[in-house]
Amino acid sequence: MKTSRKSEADLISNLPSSIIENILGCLPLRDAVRTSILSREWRYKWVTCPYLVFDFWFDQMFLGNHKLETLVYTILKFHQGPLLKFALQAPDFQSSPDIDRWIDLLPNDNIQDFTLHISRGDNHRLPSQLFAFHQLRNLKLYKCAFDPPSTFRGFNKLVNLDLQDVVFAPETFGNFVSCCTSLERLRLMECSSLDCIEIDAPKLKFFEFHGVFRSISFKHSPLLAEVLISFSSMDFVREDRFSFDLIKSLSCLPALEDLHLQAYVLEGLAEYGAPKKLPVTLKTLKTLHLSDMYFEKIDEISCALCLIRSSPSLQKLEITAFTFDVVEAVAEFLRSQKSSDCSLTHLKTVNMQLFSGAESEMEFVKYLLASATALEEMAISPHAGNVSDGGESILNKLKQFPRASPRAEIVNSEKK
Amino acid sequence: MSSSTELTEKKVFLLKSLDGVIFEVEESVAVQLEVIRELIEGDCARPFISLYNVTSEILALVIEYCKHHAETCSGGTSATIADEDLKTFDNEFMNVDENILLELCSAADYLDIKSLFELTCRTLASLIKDRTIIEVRKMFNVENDFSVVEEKAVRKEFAWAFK
Repeated sequence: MKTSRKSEADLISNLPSSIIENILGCLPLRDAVRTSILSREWRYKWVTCPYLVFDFWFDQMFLGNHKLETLVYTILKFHQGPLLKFALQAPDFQSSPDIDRWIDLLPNDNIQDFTLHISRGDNHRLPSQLFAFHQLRNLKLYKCAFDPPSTFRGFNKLVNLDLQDVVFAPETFGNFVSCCTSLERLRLMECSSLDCIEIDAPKLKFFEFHGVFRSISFKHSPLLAEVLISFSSMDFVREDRFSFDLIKSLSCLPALEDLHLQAYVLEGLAEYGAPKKLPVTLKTLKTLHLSDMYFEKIDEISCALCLIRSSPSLQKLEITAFTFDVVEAVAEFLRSQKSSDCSLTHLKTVNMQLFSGAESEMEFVKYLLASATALEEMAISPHAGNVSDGGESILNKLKQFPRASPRAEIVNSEKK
Repeated sequence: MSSSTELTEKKVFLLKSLDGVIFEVEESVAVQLEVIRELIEGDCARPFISLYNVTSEILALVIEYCKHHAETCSGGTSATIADEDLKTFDNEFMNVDENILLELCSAADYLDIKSLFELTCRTLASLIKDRTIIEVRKMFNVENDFSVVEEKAVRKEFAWAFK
């Protein structure tokens, strides 16, 4: 029901400037600037808006013959008062000396949020002025080159660091992270210069990595609970100890609860005790997501199973399958696994995604059903391309398997 | 400091609007008004708390909002269901006349209710965003006091924004 009350008075123009700034801050910058034409009073209201975000509205398609470079410069010159957020993320944006001039115009004592998204061409080398933004809480950089000046002592309020295709000067990354002592979330995507990663971040809770590294170690990260690691290439497999060292590093995290890995990363564990038992355990892990699980390779499946068994607190398991062919040996291997070997006493939910019902997949589920004594739900999400009847017959087959937990239900998650 | 004479399990507070209407609210509602939080958490000997900047019409809406938020958050439902419920409520709650929306926004600012303030600001912004300048002027009764020449000059200054 729409409550209505007509009034002839102009109630918006007389709002306190702090409220107007907040309303304008919810608008795309282009719409905020457009308010300048409402009336004389509105002409310069937008100039104190504390957020300046140059996004898709600043694509040449919308700007026509206006040049982005001139616009940013004009807007920055008009802007007054504290600026909390500055973001340059216009499509097709390239590195240019203008960027440094703009950064130079930003008031460095209040910027909390800074985004620079270079989308093509060379990486932009960040000017030293950026490192003077000591109030920064969120920093997002795409395609930049990062080389803090020797005098830099860290962004000690930085909470969120998101870097994509950012190149670091050799040996500077670990040091940079360790001096950002408030850091809670760290994303590193395709940052190719990182080879041996050392993370020392006392407040870190979330870490996501996509790319390639040779080794990773967590020195002092007592709060790190959620870790997502995915590899953009299989190059690391050349290193013998890679899988084991990775799991060993993760096992040193005292608060790790949620882990996402590609299953093939685990393959190398076969040399270190898998499939029986690993010399390390992930004691606190509650949720494990293994993606791209290749149900045709014994090593991969046996190592994945081994990691599951080495996670005694595991409550939730998510598997994204990757299966083309039926390999009898894998099914045979899974059949040979004794459910009593297992310590899946806390596992409550399993989610099998892209499930095609291949024999090895079926045996894997059978094994879990026979082992997980507290299981509540086994959710199957059928692979639409490989399964014809919406998963009906697979589900019926799975329901015949013995279950260690009397409460366990088998459901089709597509039909929930 | 806190009142030891209060024996009932649920504390109530009396809020008085600008036009003198008194509302009785529970503590879970009252604490959402940051502006009076210290008052109610400290000495609550006074008979009622006067809110000089809010009319009874708006205060009633503010209380409805806080009440729903307090109940949903303490309802024992899972976080995702509660979130969904609040989203639906907020959407419905924002379905009011622009002038009421403006007053709610001012009230939320004055009473320091962050979530309501953000909600009303976002809603007001969305009303401006989807409309032409002429429509925005009409909606909020903003008088265009530019001369034709002046308006042309402003349009030229930020021509890229008016394409």
